[in-house]
Amino acid sequence: MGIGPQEQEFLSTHVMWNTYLMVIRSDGTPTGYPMLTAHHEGRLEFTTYRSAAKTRRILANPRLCCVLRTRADEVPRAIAVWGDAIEAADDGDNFMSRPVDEQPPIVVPGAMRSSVNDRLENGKRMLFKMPIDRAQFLLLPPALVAPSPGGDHGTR
Amino acid sequence: MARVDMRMSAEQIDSFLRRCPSMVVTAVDDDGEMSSAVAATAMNDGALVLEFAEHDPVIDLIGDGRKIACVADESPSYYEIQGVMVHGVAVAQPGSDTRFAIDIDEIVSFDFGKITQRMQ
Repeated sequence: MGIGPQEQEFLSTHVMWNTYLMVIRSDGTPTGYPMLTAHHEGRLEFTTYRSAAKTRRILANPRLCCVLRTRADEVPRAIAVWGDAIEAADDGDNFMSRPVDEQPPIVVPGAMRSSVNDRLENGKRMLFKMPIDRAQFLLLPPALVAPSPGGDHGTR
Repeated sequence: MARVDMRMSAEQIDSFLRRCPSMVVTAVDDDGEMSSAVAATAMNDGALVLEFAEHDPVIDLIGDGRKIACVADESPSYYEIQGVMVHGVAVAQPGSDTRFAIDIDEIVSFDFGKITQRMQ
């Protein structure tokens, strides 16, 4: 499958993405989590609490489908990307330590960023990297494509 | 320190779903791979209704009664982030190829506002 040039170009428009991280539970049914991820060199990166349910589920079945959506002030588009999440060592090569030359979709308070860094260092949080092995644009229903006079209610 | 209970109240969830314009919908196919779509959402007579784009490939997948997950969030600011995950089965609506109501099994939610309430 791989990633086509249009998908590649779209993914490169941002580093930080509004993401819906979908996983498969132990009973075979899906669930999902809204979160921020970083796109870098063909992979997504994100952190989670080691004790979180999503972490346990990812470790049990690392196959993920992540839906990335444009921001509220952009033309609505969405892409699904697939890959296997890998627990990454905190070797400094991750989005928390790289300079990011853009405003993220949601501003994470400085105290919270420090807390995430501390918890990565002490092992309470984990860093995952997911090399993207497949990407596909998603169709949007007409109600989400047409301009809405009332805005989109602030939903990411 | 005890973990903060970040769940939304039933009233908060109902209000969230009423104003929520869209959700990401995911199902698992017969090969164990997930397929996702973005659906417009509405509450209709108390039921959560999803409207997909015509010819969205997910429609064929969810039409056979398999379990789906629907996820949405709002984030006016970090401490106002709310999210709702709905698990259930999609039920085709009469007269439409693209509209489904959700027979809900379970709703999971979180509200980052509960963090600041705890700090005050």
